[in-house]
Amino acid sequence: MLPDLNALTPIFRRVFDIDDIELQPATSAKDIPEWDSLMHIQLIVAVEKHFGVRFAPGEIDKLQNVGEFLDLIHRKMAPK
Amino acid sequence: MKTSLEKELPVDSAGLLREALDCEDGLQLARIARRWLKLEDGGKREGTFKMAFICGGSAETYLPQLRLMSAARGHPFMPMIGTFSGFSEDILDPSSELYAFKPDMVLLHPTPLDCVPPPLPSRDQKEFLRQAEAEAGRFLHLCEILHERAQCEVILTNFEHPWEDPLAGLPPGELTHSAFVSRVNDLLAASKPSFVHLLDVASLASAYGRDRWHDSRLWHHAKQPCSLDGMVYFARKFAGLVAAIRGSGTKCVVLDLDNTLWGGEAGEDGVEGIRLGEGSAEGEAFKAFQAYLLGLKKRGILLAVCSKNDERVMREVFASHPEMVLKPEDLSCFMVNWESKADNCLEIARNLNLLPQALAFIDDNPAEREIVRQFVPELRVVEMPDDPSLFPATLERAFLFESVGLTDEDLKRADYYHAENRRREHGEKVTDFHSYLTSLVMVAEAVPYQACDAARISQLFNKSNQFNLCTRRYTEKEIRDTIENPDVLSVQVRLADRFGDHGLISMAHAVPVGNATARLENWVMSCRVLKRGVEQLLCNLLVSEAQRRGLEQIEFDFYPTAKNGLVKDLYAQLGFQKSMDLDQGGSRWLVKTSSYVPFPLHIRVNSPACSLTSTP
Repeated sequence: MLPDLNALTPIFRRVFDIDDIELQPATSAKDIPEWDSLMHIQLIVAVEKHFGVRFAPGEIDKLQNVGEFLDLIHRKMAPK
Repeated sequence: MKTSLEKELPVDSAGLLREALDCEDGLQLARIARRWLKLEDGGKREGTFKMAFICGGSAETYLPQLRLMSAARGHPFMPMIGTFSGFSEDILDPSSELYAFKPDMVLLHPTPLDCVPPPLPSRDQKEFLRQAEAEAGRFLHLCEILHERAQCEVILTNFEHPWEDPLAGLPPGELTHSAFVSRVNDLLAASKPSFVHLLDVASLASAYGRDRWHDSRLWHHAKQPCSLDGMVYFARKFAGLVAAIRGSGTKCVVLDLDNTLWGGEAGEDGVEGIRLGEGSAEGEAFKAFQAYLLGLKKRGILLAVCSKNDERVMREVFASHPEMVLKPEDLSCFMVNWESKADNCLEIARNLNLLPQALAFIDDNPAEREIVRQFVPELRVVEMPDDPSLFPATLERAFLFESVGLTDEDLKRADYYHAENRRREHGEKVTDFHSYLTSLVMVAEAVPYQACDAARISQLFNKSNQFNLCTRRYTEKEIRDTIENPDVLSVQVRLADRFGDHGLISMAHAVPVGNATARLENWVMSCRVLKRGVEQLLCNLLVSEAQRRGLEQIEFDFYPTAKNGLVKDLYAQLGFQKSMDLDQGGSRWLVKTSSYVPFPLHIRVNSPACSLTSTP
């Protein structure tokens, strides 16, 4: 089963140390004030560790919102 | 979740700091740092000194972890981030924000990209070496200017080996980027002045593994110089070095016995039944750990035993087990009884004249670790793994024994304490205190501060916390300035007795205030020689020198701190008259030179008081 918002939410909550974060596909850095470039890195590393994937620099730069994040994870986890 | 982020974090500052010490996961450490800084109001409430950062990467990516870890080791600081990669810019410009900040300490953390080799590949050895000298010289020169202008201590990281070296395929001996970095690092180590403290990031990165240490993607993305997990070790090493510079390194390792120094329980299994030494992998692992501890002892770290056991049986193991690497004389304190380990640790600290925070506690039993942690929170309890073959690495990666340099005293320290134990046994035989002091046959050498001892004097002022009357710290340069100022009265005392040489153990200086008065600047003494009469000797010498200079009085100031309770009544005990209260709970005490009656002493002084005059 591919991860969905429910799988991503606890990671966001832990990384930002904010317990009531609710994620939507459209949620972006604009919606979470703490989501700056530093936290972006930590978020990426946490997601990578959790799902056993690795993103390329170009992919990290392009991410606009949570929905795109999930799509990217799905692409990485898809059998080649 | 699969990562350690699953773990719940404490909600209080002290709990977070404790959690930080043993945290192995980079994400988790960053999270602890963020929560701690939020609690500490962005860190504004904390901070006992000021630290500036000039970094070749983005300091923002790891400053929170450095602040957290330094606070966890007892040294919270107020930070300031200088210009990105602005080593020359910030240091050469006297009007830069760096100097306006007035830092007490500065971290210069260049990356391999800041170390510029000559055009490579090349076979021009001479040009290669010339350029290496130029690069090392460039950074040391900046350190000197910085120290000169800001009077601060400087931490300079040496250079990591290049993250990528296109010439890595060439054999050793060829002129590669990596060979260049090694050469520059050697030059830095060989020619750095004493106020520059090298943080050996090159060794750290290679011990960790370069490819895990550096994450080139994070570098390209955020100029983060090393991976999040690697940062854990950088932060620990950094905090260990800061502690060493500020004189609060770990001075003693307190060791459990059963399943810590050997496998099995000597009380149950008998001396021959324990697993130690050749014959089993486990026994070899314990033996290797003992050898590691012996190495620490030789470098000046004291070893003490704290075990819930039958003392007789345990002494028997030390005396008769053929595979024991540690011998009874390697132990500065042997505390084997059935009392609480928390109490025993405090007793060990008292015995060795150390503060509890100078002790590290090693025990295989998590319950004992927890008790000590709860009852003596300032003591460093190391989280040990179950596998004894990991003991040495675990202790090493805690970075408890960072140092600003090996001294002669380090090499002799364990012997001092061994002699001290003999002294104590001797003292138990002599019932009357005066005859005890006489029987020690103490000889002192007392002279004004000597230029050749400036480094040691600065070190003792900076690391003494208990017998420290004003807790003022001095750089080596400030001590040299003091020596060159003929108006300053200064005394340094070396002490030896029939059991051994204590080395330089006490010093004080006073500055003139007006025509008739000298005022104590600071006075420190090693606690090893407490109540031997050195306190009185030093008073005698200062006062007689003041008399000789025609001064009417000396003002002795005292400022209380959390750590110098030992000397809060010293002046009263010496019979001085209190003259006034000072700021910060301090007090000023007067000694009139005309009515001063020198204290009788049990110490023979080799240098007459008149030699206290500085020779021009």
